[in-house]
Amino acid sequence: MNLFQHLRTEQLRHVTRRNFLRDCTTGLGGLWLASQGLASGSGKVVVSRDPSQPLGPLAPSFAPKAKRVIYLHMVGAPSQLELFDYKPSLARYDGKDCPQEYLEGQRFAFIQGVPKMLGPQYEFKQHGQSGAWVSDQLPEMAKHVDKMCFIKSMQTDQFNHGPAQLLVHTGNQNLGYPSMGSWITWGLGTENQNLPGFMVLISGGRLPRVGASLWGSGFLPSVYQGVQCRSTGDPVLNAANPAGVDRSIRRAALDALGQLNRKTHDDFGDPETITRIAQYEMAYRMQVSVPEVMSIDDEPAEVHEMYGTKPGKESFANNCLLARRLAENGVRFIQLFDWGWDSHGSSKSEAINFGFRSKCRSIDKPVAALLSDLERRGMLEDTLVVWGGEFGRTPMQENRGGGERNAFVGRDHNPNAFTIWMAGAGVKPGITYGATDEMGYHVAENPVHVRDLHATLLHLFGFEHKRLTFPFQGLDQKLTGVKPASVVRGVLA
Amino acid sequence: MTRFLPTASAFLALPPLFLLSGRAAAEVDFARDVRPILNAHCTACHGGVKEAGDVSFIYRDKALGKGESGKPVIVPGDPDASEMMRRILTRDPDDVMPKPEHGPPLPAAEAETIRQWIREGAPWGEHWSFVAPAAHQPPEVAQKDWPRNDIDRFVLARLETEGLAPSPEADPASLLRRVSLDLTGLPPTKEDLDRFLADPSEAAYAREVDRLLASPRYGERWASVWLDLARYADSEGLGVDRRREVWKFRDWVIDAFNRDQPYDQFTIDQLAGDLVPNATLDQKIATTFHRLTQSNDEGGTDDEEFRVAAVIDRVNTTWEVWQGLTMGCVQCHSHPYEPIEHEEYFSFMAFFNQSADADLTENLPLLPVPLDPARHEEASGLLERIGRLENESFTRCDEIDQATRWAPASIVQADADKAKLRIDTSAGHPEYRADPNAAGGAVYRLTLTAPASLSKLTALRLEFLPENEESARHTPEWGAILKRFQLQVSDGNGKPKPVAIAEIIADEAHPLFDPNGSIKGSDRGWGTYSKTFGPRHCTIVLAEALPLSPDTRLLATLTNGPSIIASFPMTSKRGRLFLTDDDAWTRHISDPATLERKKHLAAAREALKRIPSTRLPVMRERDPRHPRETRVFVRGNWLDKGELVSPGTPALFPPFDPKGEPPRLAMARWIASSENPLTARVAVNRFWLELFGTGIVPTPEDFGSAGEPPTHPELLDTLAFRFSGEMRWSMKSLLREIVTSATYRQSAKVSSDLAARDPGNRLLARGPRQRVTAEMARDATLAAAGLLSDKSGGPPVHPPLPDGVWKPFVAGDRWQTPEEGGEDRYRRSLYTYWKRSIPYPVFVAFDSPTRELCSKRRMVSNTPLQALFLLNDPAFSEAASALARRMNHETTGDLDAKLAAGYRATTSRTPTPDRLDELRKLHTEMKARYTSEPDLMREIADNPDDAAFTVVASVLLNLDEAVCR
Repeated sequence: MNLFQHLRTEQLRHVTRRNFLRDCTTGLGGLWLASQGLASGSGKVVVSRDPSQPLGPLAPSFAPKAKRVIYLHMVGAPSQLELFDYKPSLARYDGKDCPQEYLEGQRFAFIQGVPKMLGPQYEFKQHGQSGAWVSDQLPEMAKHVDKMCFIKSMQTDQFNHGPAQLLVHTGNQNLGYPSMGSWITWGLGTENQNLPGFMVLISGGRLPRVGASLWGSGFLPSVYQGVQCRSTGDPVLNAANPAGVDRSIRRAALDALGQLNRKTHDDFGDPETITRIAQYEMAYRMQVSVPEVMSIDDEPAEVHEMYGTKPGKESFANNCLLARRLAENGVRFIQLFDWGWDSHGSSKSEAINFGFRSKCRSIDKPVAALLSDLERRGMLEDTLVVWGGEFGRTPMQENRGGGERNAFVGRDHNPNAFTIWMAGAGVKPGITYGATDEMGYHVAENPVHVRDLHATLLHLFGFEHKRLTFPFQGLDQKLTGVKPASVVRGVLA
Repeated sequence: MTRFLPTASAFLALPPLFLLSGRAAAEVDFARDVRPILNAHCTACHGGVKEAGDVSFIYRDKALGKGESGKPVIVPGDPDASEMMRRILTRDPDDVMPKPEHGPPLPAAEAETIRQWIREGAPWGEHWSFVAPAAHQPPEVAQKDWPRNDIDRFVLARLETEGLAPSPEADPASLLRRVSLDLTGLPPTKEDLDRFLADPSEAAYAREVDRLLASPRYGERWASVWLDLARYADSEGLGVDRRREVWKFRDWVIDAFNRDQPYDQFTIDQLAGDLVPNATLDQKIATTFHRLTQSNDEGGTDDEEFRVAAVIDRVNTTWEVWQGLTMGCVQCHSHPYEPIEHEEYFSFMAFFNQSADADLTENLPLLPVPLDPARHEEASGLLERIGRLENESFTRCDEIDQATRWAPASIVQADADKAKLRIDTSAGHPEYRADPNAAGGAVYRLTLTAPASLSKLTALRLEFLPENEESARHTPEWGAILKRFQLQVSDGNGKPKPVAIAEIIADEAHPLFDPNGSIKGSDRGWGTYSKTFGPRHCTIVLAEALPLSPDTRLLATLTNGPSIIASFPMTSKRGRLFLTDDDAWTRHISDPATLERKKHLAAAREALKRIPSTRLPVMRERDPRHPRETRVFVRGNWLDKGELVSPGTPALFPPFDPKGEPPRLAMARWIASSENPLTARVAVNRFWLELFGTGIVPTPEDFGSAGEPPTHPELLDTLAFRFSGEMRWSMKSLLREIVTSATYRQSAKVSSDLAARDPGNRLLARGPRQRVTAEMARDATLAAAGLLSDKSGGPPVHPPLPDGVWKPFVAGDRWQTPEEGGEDRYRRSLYTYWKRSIPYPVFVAFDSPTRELCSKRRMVSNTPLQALFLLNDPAFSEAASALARRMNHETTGDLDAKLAAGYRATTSRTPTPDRLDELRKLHTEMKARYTSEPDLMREIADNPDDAAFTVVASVLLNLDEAVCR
């Protein structure tokens, strides 16, 4: 047993003695302890928590299909009507006034009065065995449609970015709730104790508008919040030693610190002191493991070619490659945010006929590469890849401020229907689930709410969504909230 | 009311962990024994949310009624006749409760408790915390020389029952460290320690406590706690997260703690300081408390949706902060556990539904507050004066308006740029209506004729109407701004001539913008910005009376306001005009009294403008002539309005009697009353939680029946009773009482036996030992390094931030850190700019909330990221270098003396010889290393000795003892 393992065992013993009993009455940290226990145990974990017995042994209920997730969020909401949801009839209505029945009872972010309909702006073709329709903007991704499971009937409650992004990531449109990455790492822990269990990568030049709340831990302990990785400076905040301190000096300092803290433990008997010693050792290990995993310099040229990566640059391509590396190294939840998909047509960069095209180009090859790479490494079997935005876009052209059509084509926010796809662990490959009406405006069959997606994700990780709960504000809180949610059986392999 | 209190034996009852068998013999208490069983097994289906089979166990009359089956659920005195009992005991899987798919059958002991309770007549009892607290006689104890005050008698009596003995007093250095960090958030200085250690007298500790309570640092420490509850942040949150200047409120909180403002006043000022008669400027500043809700300025967001969200947050926060109850769930349905009805939520919401703020980009209404507190009084006087003059002026205009006969103007022609207009008639009045595509900035040209009865025109009345007046009362429509109003006249021949307008008068005394802006043109002139709840009007007074003939055509040009939030045109969709020949208007504008008033008003406004000020969002009521309707939200959906409600408090609690006061003020007094069963208990528990790490009620966020019962109920009630009574709500008195108790002063050393027996220290057989808070972690480091500034108050500061963290959504939002040595680099943590979407990294790492919502307690974690911050963060490295300098160059004596000084600076304790050995060994080893590697050495210091001290200093700042109190 090395020092770290020794400390960890000692820590667990103390934590067990202290928290186990204490938490019989508090009910809060007990769950935290339980997952501590899980994280250190074997990989195959199924959690079933009875709220009346927060410390009950964790009995497996069903085996997880997914061990980890790579969630690709296209911030701003990409237009499903220009990518995957092909609507030939919409083309026929192009330029005509929107029918009144589409406007009644609807609330819009930017559309005022009566807008015009807007046909699909790009050519669509069928691809692969499955014959999935994909527009000419994603030629590389189109080659992988037989791995993908499209859900074309996604729905959300929110039509503004901030609240809608929060709903996708935390199950609640308000700030202050745990993100799905936090829930999953809280429930499952992670496979590599030398890396954070939940890591976040950003591209597109901007943070999503509600920032860190999208990967926050809400009312769960802060240790479950996502750790944002950075493309400049330290890959994780403060991973590097200060100037003038090398690794051996740090080792000597930590040895002295450990000796002194053990004396403190002798004085007070506080088990947190032992935990703290262990956390310093883990920090010491992370200082090596994080930069190692976050450096893509040593990847072969072939891989760089495949992804279109350039070391040292902030890009979605680099983040896709990093996502694969993190997945390989046992990180549980890997979250990518790519800014710039809000195609209102209010400027060139936000136009479907300009900025949108370059956004597509920037993700097409890297996403295709990620899928190929995971597949050839045998990782697609237990890695779930999810691609999507926070809502869809309207079949109507936006007429911001009531004005006329202009050179930049755009669509407004549409919470009623959007498309996401999943690939890998536990989902049926090469299928399309759900459908929209002939305009792509509303769901016509098999609606899937964001909450249903959450229930499905938790299911793939071996959790029954109603049973993964945390007591807060007098309620057993869950990712799927209080409204109905159910697992989308039709997408499960 | 004491009859509802649990019986004496209940106070010895232990939390579930310590439950002993043999309770069945004693009388069953509903609140203590039965309600928890119902909550755990029954109320999910038979509660406030669902009443499956028409059975609910929340209200007694329901529980004694007949369910859908027609069988009596509970027959008092007769368990065998009670359907409930039969369903619990049956083995028939179709009949048994809980249903097999919902859970296992009730354990035999619980079933027996219910049976006994029914046999005893099924007496109902209110949950303990809903009954006002009473003082209890401190119990007799065996160890008579231990208690220092009554707290100790309650604690010791419990320990003696458990067969436990209290711990000895902590060593003086540890004790002074604990109480200094707890009361002021800072460790003791060397001088404080020397003084205290040199004085073994009994009085010495009390003197230190008095000194700490009198220190300006005290208010800063407790403001940090309160600001979590107040969800204080320097930015708006949500979509754009712009800066919001609210630091005057933070300074008000610090000051309120420092001057020991009684908690009841502290409460009233924050909830309704604006409505207190003759409110001072400071009382108005206090109301920023409820303007700290998030706002959303993302393009395309509905102002009403986020206004409503803010109002809901005000309700929830008020309940969470002062009542320790979660009301969030009652938004959508009746409370699942407590007898609080869905409608009652909205009655309470009505208290907050009349404030003037409305998620506006400008954060209106804003109160100008002088930067210099010394000028608060001056500004207060001017504001009072302006308010009074505006009232006088409005009252006069209103009198004239009441006496004026307004004749409807006929609209003979209506055309527009950027909109399509049509002429319509409603209730006999001609009106214009715009098409739904009417754009921002649309210009309406209306040709009007006057009725023949008018031979001249002195004033016009312009009305903006909602499209649906009925629904707008509770669900407003987008408003409109009259950017500019122009009037021309023609007699049918020749070019129309302009008509001079003297004044535009609003239909309220204190409009958000000057209506006269619409004479010359302004994006924020008169109007219904940004939402309209009903018909509104302004009066447009001509400079001189205009003669009218049958041929006269009036040409009114209405320029509409621009679009707001990148989306919504402030364009009038519907409106009409009226005309009058009443000379009173013409007389009014030249009346010497009017002119005099105008002069004074202008002078007061100018004088106010000359005082350098910040503009603070505060609570202010809407004009009572233009109220909003408050209706129930059906199933919590704000777009689905149910029945109308009026302001009120839940029936479960003491009655609410406004006695003619404004409702929100009356509600504040209702909360801040010693009759309120929760207010004092919740407050006492919060202070206890901060000092001991766990509250007497371990779930400070839930004093309801789903929360945990208090570990020392008599102690809590006695302290609560005394806090609101003899202590006159003095928070300093309460804190003094707690920190001078023998309970608090115990050593934190825990034997393995005691640790096994009472791991969470619920019984208090030892002193508290807590990790420092996020603010303390940074402040104590700066203090140990000798860097901490003691400057109080002022705008937020921007201490060092790691590269790459600051990526605000608003590009112009800059983080500018002063150079090394600059005072604002080293200010106390609570002055740090608090941006909701980019929280200060070290605070988050040490468990501070991001303050989007009210946060009742911080979970304490122990993570590797904390270690990385303390070891590597540039700001902490800077502190390590400074501490090294202090040790090596500002301490006289040998190496051991220097090392000991450093150890004492970070831990407050004198190092033992074996610790000194450890530090000396490290220093020697490091010095040798840096001597042999001069290049590496130069990256950290000028010479190997200083370099070695820097490494040692970093170790000292990272000690477990350095981050504990």
